[in-house]
Amino acid sequence: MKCWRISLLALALAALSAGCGSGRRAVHLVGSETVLPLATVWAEAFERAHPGALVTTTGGGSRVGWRMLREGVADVAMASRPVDPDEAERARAAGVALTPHLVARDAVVVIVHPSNPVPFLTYRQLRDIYLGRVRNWREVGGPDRPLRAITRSRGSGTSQTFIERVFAGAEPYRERVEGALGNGVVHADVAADPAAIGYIGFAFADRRVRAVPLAPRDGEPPVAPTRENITGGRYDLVRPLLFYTNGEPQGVTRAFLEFCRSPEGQRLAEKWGYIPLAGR
Amino acid sequence: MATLLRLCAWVAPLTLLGMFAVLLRESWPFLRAVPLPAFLFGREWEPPALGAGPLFAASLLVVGGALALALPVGLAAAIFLSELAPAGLAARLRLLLEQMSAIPAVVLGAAGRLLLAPVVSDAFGLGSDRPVALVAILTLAVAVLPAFIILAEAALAGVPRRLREAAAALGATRWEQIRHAVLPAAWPGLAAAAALTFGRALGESMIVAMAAGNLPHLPRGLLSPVQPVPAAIVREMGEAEGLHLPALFALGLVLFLFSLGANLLAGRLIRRGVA
Repeated sequence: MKCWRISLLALALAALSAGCGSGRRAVHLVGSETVLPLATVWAEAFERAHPGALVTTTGGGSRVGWRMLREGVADVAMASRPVDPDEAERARAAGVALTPHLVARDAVVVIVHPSNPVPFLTYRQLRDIYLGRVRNWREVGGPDRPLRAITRSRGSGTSQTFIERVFAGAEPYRERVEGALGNGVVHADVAADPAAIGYIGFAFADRRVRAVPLAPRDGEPPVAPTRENITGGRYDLVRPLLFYTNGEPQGVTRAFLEFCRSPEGQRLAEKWGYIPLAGR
Repeated sequence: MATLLRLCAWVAPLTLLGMFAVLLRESWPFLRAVPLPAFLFGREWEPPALGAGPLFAASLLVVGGALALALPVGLAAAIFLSELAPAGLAARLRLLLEQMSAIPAVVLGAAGRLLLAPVVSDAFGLGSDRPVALVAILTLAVAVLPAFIILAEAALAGVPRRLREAAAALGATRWEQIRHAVLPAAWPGLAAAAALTFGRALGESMIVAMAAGNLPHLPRGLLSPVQPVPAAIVREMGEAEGLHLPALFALGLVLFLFSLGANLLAGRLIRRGVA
């Protein structure tokens, strides 16, 4: 179960840092499943460039990252959304100065089966779908086939971004559709099922699913989730990918963060499907 | 040396006690804040609303369904293995069962979600491959079946040969021997096997987290997505805040008590069988 996994992880990380001695050549990153693949790529490149340095990466979700940072197990919390007030308060209470570092951006894309011709969806239609009020694709401009909506658990940054933007100011979100664990599971389900709709990080979208253009307001022209539209600021469901440290980072952690934000790090981000920081 | 051995013998019971203490301590803020009936029978699991009725109902449905399938089939298989199968065949089947019971639950869960869900969807015209309660029931039945057969067969094999011979001497056919001599003598062991299987099915988490659909609503039948208790724990542990986290520990506490109860019952039945 997850809690045991997390405590095991804590133990393993504690053992690792103990083993690395006082030199602090090791950096432990924990958190967002969305950032995890990119962080792993960065870690490998950084280790190649800095022999002797050790960068470990572990998922679990943005919230797990903050918790591990608070408990002193992680050096860096990976997050796919800014910290919320509750979490910030918990960190303050624990004497941890959560310091954010923007390392890249990501978009949340709404995906359907490649055979689904639905031209676009409005946020109103997405709300109807995710509140379980729409049960057939015909009702939202698609073909006459059943509709199966898949969501992520609320701790995921992807789900927070999606729900906050799509439901903002309109009506409260309630869990009315089936849940899945992780970007990968949502992707696999949608790729296999012509009835399905889900949402995942842009970096996870490939040819086996179709990313649908979205219109935040009724009557607005829908915007396709292409790289151009995302970097150009036209696509709405974009969120920051952040590394949080306790205070200003020092030593290897600082060098690693500088590497991630460097042209080389940002080139890797782009190569792996993330949105690099502007004006690099 | 004897002290060391004695210490080792105490590891398991102390761990059990420790787990109970931890679960109680972690769930205490929730249990103190929310009346027990509102937790056990509340109809809405939508944090901050923490009525676990839908989760318990889902667990009952899924575990009940899985046992309703696995117990009769398993009993029939155990009777075949113990009473009817030639020794060579029985040995090979037993080996196979042991292999089957070693399949990790996460593999079965994935198979249920990816392979079984589309079959169920086609069979019932659901129109989508959404995992529903029935998918979890079938997968869970497959997961608990091998161990139940092994346990049930052990119970049948424990029936003294002279009982069968006595029945045969009275002119009983093979079937009558099984029906009137073996099964009655073996029933405490069989019931214990069923109780252990119940405990295992109730606590199984990966299968229900992957193949039940994860919708924390009161089940509307076998073809609705549901979220049994362990699935809620797996899925929500990483994100829980406020009373939600202690509520998940309270769910764990309830599961723990039920499994413990099932195991104690099994132990009692076995002792009665021996006595």
